[in-house]
Amino acid sequence: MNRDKEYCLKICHLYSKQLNLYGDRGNMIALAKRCEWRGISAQIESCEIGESFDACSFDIVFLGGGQDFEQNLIRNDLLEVKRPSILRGVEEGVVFLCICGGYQMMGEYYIDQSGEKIDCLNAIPIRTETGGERLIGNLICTSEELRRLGADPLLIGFENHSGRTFLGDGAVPLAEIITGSGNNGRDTTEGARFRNVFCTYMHGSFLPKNPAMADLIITTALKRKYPDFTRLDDIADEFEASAREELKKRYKIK
Amino acid sequence: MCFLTTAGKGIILLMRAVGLNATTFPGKITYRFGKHLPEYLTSGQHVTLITGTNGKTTTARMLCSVYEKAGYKVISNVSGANLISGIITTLIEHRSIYGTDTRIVLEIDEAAFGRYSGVLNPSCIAVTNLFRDQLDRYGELTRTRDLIRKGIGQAGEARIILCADDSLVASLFPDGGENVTFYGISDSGTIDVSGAPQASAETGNCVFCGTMYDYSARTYGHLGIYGCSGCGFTRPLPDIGFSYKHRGNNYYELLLTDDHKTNVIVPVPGEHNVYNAVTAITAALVSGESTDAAVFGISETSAGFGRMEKFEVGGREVCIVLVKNPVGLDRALTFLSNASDAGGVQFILNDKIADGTDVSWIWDVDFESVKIPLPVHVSGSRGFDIALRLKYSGIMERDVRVDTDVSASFDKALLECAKGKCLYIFPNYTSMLELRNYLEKKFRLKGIWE
Repeated sequence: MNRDKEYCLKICHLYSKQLNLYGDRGNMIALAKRCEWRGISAQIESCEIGESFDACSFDIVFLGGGQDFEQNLIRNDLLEVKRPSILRGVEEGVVFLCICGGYQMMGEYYIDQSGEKIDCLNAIPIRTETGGERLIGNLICTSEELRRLGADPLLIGFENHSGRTFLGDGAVPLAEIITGSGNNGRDTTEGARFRNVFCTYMHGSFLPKNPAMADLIITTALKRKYPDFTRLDDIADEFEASAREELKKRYKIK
Repeated sequence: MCFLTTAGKGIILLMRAVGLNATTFPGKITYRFGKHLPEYLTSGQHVTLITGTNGKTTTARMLCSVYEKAGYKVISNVSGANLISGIITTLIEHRSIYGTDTRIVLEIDEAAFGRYSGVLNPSCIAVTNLFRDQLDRYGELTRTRDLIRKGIGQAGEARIILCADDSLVASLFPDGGENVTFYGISDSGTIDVSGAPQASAETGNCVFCGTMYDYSARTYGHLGIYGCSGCGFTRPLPDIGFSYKHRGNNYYELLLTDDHKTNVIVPVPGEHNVYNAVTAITAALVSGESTDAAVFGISETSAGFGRMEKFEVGGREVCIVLVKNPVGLDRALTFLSNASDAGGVQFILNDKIADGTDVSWIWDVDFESVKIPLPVHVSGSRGFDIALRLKYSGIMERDVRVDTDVSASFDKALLECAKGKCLYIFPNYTSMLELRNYLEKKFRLKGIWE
């Protein structure tokens, strides 16, 4: 980091009132704090139903999950008002973090329980169908991308979804599963990466618990905005490490 | 059936004799052999069922106190065993005191209510509220509401008591009904309407049409006086109206309005306990008690273990507040920031099945807006998760002491709490039981808490 330079990230929480399921807010807190601790200014705004949206005016866009009730509330606005801007944002490399329901909505379509095909944003090449039992529990997986960067590759979180997601051409998994179900409980993949879009089924404390992934998202956004930016300062992540250690011990992961 | 009851009682006595905790097993085993047992044990009795996500135990305790002061013999699952096994165990154990002057008061888990309310022959059903709670178990809050709807549908002629101020609860009977009694705050009350909703509050979108509610008053969480301009759904006019005033030490004075004009001090702190008190009072009123009788027992209620009860050890007070979901912890933190005697804090977070295995909800809690006395002690199998939450709320790592061993962490927290001050402890369900066992052993407090 160039200490004489002032860095600033603009972050948008889409539908913060409706898509805030069980701790999604923790991801915004983690991004803000990890910027603040390094002297990077992070401005968090929200964009709600009916408000106009320009994805390209933000560096990071967050689309979380909701209960079915809330997801149905935002669906029309998402597809009719926000969609063109989201497609342009993805095209131009804006960083997106999409979780659970937000992940599903970024895809091509969702087939619901009655077999009806519901159109989604078609911003990334993934598709989802509902299927049987809800996949609920701790989820631990490894990110090849983090491993390549020399960071701790282990991602730890909690999943709670009934949708089964499958990746199409161009999307790569965010991680490979060690324990848990992930995308569909069949092919050992979890989440998706496409351009600067990061998708996962791990909700709640995903970024607080996975500081390397939080930093990768911040770094990706900073590099895009400041071409001379190289890397973030290291910070002590003692509690993060201990919280992760607890789960690693439980699932006997080295 | 009679044989099973006797056998069940025998099992309870045997288990107690060898020092086992007989709160659920006897019910579980006898129910396996006699599916009609719940009907048999409740038929002809006056049964009140209390369900909802928060406040079941305190409401049940308050109603028990009301009935006891009114001279009834009261049977209740005060141990908090609120699944069918715990309920059957309670009924078998106290069957010998059944009579015309008996009142049965049962708190019941929302899913168990949906399944068993019909066979428990309720005369009265009270629904406290619906907040996000253990979504890893229930999936969706509207699903929890639907379980309660199913339970009410099986309950025949029972009187239904609903919190009008909770839009999700009120949506069970938006137009009321012959058997339905609503309670809620009075427009003319003294309640501050300026309070902004906390992050843990529900969306505020109309449950029928999705339009944002307009609130003319808010109390806590998503509770208040709401109205929808989209479809016209408004808060039902309460049959039992109330307001409340803040009194010293975070206690509230409850004022019933309209036909039942009277007032009473609610001896357990927090606005949510004012609501619990009104739930209990309404249950007594619809069951035929006079206003005086319904109110009298409230001021005599003692807090249950882990429900804001204070006790003294080693020259310090200890106050334990069970917290298991975001609204509950937000309420507890508001309570803490108003407490002038706070000398220390301990958070304990476990992730066993009974707690909900998903601890993500702690990120919905507004730690940022409360002042927490430092250093803060944290413990439990997910102690480091709560430590992480505190760190991201702006507390320095050096001010957070983590020890995943509950008893060791408690000892240190108590030692660091100044004499004459109070150590506030916020455990979730199984960690509260762990702490209770430890306290009973260490301070020989056994038997004080029922």
